[in-house]
Amino acid sequence: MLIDSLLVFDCTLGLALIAVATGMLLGRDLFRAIVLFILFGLLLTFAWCRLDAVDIALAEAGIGAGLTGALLLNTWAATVKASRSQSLQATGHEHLIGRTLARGHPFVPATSRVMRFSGNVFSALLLVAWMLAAGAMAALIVPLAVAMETPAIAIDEALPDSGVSHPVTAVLLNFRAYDTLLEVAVLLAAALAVLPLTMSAKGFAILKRDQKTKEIDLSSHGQISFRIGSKHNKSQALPIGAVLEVFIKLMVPVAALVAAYILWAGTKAPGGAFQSAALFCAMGVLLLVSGWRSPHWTQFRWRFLMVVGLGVFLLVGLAGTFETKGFLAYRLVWASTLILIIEICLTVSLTVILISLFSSTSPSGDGSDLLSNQVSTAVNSTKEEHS
Amino acid sequence: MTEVLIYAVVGGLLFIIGLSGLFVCDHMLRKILAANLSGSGLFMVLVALARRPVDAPPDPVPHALVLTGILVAVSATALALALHRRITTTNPTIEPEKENHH
Repeated sequence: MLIDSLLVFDCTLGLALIAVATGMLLGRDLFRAIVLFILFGLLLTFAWCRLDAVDIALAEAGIGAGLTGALLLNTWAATVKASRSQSLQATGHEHLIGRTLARGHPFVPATSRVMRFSGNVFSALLLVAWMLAAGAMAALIVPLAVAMETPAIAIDEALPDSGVSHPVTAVLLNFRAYDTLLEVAVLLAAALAVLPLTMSAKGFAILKRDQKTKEIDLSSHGQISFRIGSKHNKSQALPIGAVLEVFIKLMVPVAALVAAYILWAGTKAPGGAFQSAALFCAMGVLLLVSGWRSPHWTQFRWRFLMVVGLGVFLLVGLAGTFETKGFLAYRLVWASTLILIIEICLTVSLTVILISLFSSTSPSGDGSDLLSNQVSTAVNSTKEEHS
Repeated sequence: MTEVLIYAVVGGLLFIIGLSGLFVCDHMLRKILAANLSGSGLFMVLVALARRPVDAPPDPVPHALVLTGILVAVSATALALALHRRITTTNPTIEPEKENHH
């Protein structure tokens, strides 16, 4: 009976995932699609729990659903919503025509109707092709799933030599430490690519804003304002609701405690650097959204924190080259200590990198704009009308 | 064993939905959503196949791969979004406001 109800749960969850995914891609509204994406991430978290992948569930909830959703919402606010409000202000002739064309109004010329039709045919053909591919894939997956019945004994046997007792951490930081090293390098590379891209975009955004905001941006050079709802923030036209304020005051310390615990627990239970960094990052995002000023990521201290994880990882790896058999090989006596040191440094670096990714994709290079964007644009437009 | 099959097949379907979305959708943001979707589908196949018989814990290697993959996916998404933002701010004509035309 228990198995039956679980089966029903699995089927429902699978169908819900597919429905949400389809809705995300076919729905009309882009904003709704992004919200559906966040919902998808949360449903996926359930699926990971059902598949005994608690480590992945933790990371998915924090990063897959949370951070990616925040990044998408930021970008949506900066591009789609901004262009929409512009087009609402300029109710010109062009836009009206553009919109009727876009909505498939009867006034659409025949040529574009033909184009739309052929586009639909192409999509249908593509879908059929993918369905065939799905069949082929299912034919591949089923025998694989059956073959996986045999347990992977190698890791169970080697686990005592790894320095930690949680197999996923052992794989991440000992057996396949190369993967993790290169992954941190990829994240660092992404931050290095995103920051210059958005910094000039940030300059562009500042130019468009009023003088007052610009002065604040300059005066706050590289400093975080630690007070929520202080004078400093009010000048930025950010009304934080009382609920959000209390929520943040209560949640941030708890989240910090949980994140630190998860980091520590990673050696023997689900958890570790990635999950802990995901929680710390969620904390940072909450604070940025509530009006904390985003730090200047080009400052030495922030750059140092971004690099420290990869740096320490590499140094330990190189030390292993001289000490023992080879690169990234630890001596058993030191293994657990070294893994813990690497994990702490990785958590710091990953947190800083992820928060910098968030704050640099926000509409003006400052995370607080996720909420205040609407207010400040409204204020700006009324000011322009008055002057 | 059945749940492995269910999740593996759902993962495969998600991968295909995402991949076709990547080709079919117009708007860049939706393409980024679709790419993430196909990635999640692939992760799901990997994690489903990592299951072992009932009393044994799952195979940790695919789990570690997926964890790594989630972080790489978010960094790739951030880069794609930054590029998208840059393209739309430097060249506003590219931004298709007609994303509602499905």
